[in-house]
Amino acid sequence: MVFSSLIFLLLFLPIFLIGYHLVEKRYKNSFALLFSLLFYFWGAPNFILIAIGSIIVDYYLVAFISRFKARNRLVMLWVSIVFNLSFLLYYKYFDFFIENLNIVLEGGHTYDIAAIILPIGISFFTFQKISYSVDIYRKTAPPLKSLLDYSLYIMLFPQLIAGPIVRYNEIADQLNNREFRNYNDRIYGLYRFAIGLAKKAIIANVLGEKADLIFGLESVDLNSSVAWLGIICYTFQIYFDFSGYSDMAIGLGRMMGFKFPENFNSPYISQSITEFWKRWHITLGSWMRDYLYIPLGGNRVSSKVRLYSNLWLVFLISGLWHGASWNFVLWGAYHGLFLIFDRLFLNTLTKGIGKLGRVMITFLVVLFGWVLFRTENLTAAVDYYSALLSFDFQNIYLFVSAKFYRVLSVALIMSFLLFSDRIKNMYSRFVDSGAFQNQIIKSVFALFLITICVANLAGSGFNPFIYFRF
Amino acid sequence: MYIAIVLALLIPVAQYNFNFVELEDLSGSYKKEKIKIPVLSLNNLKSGDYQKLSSKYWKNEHGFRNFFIRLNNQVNFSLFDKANANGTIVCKDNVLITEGDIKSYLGKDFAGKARIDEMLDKVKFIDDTLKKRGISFFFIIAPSKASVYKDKIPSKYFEIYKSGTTNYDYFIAGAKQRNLKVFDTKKIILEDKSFFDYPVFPKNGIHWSGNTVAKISDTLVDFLAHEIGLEVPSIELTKGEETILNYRFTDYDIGEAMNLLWNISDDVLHYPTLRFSDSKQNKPNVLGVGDSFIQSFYGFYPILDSVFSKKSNLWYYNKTLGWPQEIVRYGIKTFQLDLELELENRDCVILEMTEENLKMTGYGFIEDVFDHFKGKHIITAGKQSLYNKLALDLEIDKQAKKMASIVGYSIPQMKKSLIKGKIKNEWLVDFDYEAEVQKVIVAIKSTPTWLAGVKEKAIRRNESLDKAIRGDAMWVVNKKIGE
Repeated sequence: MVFSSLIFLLLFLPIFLIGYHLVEKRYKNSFALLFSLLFYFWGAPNFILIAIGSIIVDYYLVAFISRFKARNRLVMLWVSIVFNLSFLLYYKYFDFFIENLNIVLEGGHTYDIAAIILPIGISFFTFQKISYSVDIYRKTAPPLKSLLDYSLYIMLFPQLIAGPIVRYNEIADQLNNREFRNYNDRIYGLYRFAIGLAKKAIIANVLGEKADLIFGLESVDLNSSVAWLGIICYTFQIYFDFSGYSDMAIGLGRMMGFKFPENFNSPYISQSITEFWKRWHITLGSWMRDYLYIPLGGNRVSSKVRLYSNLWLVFLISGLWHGASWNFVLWGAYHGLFLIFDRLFLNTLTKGIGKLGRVMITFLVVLFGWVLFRTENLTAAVDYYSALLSFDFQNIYLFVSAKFYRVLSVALIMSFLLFSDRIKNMYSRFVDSGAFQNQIIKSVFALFLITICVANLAGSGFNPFIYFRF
Repeated sequence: MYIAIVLALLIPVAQYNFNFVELEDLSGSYKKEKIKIPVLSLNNLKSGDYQKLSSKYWKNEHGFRNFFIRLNNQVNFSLFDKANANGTIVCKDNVLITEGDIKSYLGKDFAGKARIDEMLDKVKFIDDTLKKRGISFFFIIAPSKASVYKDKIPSKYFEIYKSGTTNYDYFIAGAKQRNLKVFDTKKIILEDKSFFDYPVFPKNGIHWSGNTVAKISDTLVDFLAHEIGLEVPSIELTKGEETILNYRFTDYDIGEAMNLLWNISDDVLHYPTLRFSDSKQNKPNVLGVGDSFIQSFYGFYPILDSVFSKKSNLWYYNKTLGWPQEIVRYGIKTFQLDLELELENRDCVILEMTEENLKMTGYGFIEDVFDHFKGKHIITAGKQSLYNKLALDLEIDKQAKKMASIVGYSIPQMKKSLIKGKIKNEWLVDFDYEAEVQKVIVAIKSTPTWLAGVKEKAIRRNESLDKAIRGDAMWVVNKKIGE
């Protein structure tokens, strides 16, 4: 069940919210867990028991970490990490491994592809589980006292499928001690949810249709204009799709009293790739930093070569996390490379070209990277790059319409609006204000957007969700 | 406020259960599918079928669905100049024109000289044969909205679709060369400014307006009397009704198909009153074959009833009997009728095509009549055994008895005709829809020009090429079986 579906918006969500607000405080976690399990069961009925089983085992494994001392703690941590990663490796990467093994063994014995179905959200909740184990090991937060609370932390439906990846230490306090009756939070949550829904239904879906169409063309039908149009559409589709989903998750959490970390911060106004990764999928970046990059030595390694190798390794893994395909690995490598270039020379080189110039260069680098992310395989990526750079420009009348241009304009404005500090400050003041007048504006705007989005979803058939498959 | 909004989200559930607000039905492709409530079972849940079906069911059945769809269409139209009606383009000044019309006008759908020449040569032979029998033949060519309102077409379409020769130009020149009679309403309308006193086509309609039909009918009657030599009543047009509210018949057909929240038309349309002289005279018996434009001659005014005899017939796309109204409800297919009997007592045969349908080269009617006159028999020696088998079929007997009086045949004539129809459409006996669709898909993929056309359609409709190919293939098969 995705948030931008009518069954979620018009059945699940209102029933859940009314029930959640009506039940007594001590039952709220149980109620939320019940609906979270139902939410997950709806989308992955065959995996629910495995998910529950793994949560129970992991909860007790981590309980040992908190009880043991010194070396045994580390052993139990590794047991927990291997246990969690084994699910991810099996479900997400087993077939990929066999495919590549078969290529290596070409001519000899080959192995059958198992055609394993990827359980939704596995990449996200595996990372949350590892976060719990490591945080308990590091003693950055106390272990949870009940299995129910731990289950809720992992399965909480707003962030279960596509994040934000909520690190345990960020939410530990809120699981049993959050504010339930903050009216400002509820209104803000609703407003944020509506914004996210509109990003998804009104912008991402429109651009996504074009992107799918163009990326679905045979390479002979591609020319430069069409290829550029396609990648521009995808660049904004993925941002509005994913950040929209994060907004909805954050909004839902806020209505329930949770404060989830932000996942996006106008990434396309970044002035370097280093900055881009501080603004794009922030929770993945910080997870990788805290649980992979720092344990590898972080910035405090002895040599530059080691530092850059670690950086690159983190990005290769980050790419692979997105999907079992060489395209994702290359995408990670591509970003890792630019991160190293930033440190080596790019930041110095671009100092003189001004803020706007740096933003444009960074945007282009990101845009080129999305080709790897979107195409199905390396051959398709090469074909697409060839079309982009062939300078064979033809008219694109067939692909565009007044609706497309207007939606793209809104996407551009929304993506680059916060480039201006003045607008950024004005918007922050509006969002943070709890004034009555402000609450009314947020509420009316939320109701308006939800109505328009429901209408849009009722009248159209195109409603995929990109990060669902990760 | 928060509570009110959360509760408001439940209103569609309440409407679903109690249906407390009566909503106007949707038309066209937005009509509700018939989806059953999914069966809840452990197996269905485990396989995910229950979840999928429930989502589909809820999307189709949720409360206020009609309102939400209308709202979405209205937003698309008002904010994005997008008409959510199949193949419709919002042109300048919000005039709605179908893309097919624009393509025809600009020659993008040119059927090719060879095809049109072949059609006209066959028609020449048919015309000569009919003449010998004392039957007249002529074409009615109706204009596309695009050629009447070419100034409303957005300029980009001229760049995309401008292709040189059009079906219309080549057809008209060819017909003239062969001395075939053509009642060219496009020429008449474009040359006579009085047609433009009121909209020739309504802003939100695909067909010509009631006013145009009235005026064209007047000219048509003149044409029948003087060019064809038929005795027909004359028509007198008087003042009638001018309206922006009470549009008739097809004058708001695209508007309706768009399923908007409110009426978008600001056209002032005019419906003159028609008076027919001397309705008692011996009216001509006519067979008309045509598309939806010919329906205007009975939809707006009782022109067909008043001008032609009751024995006359209208064959809609050469597939079904479309007039007189009394027999439409029987759903009789034209292949069930005997072509010889259908032609023998006619005074006149009319083939009507709009500019856009010229590429269909007569809906198969020309081939049927040509083959018939050339003596190409359906019941060949090889088919005789099938004929004998079908002759013993009691179902056909029953059907023949029922239909004979409706179409005016004797029972043996009707039976023979039904058997012929079955043999002609033998493929329908063991018809496998999917297999037919697959055959057409293969044909599309192996015909570069056809494939290119479908690719273009896919891009325009924002759908995958495979989906567009299948859609086209289904359309072809549906046409073939007369759906």
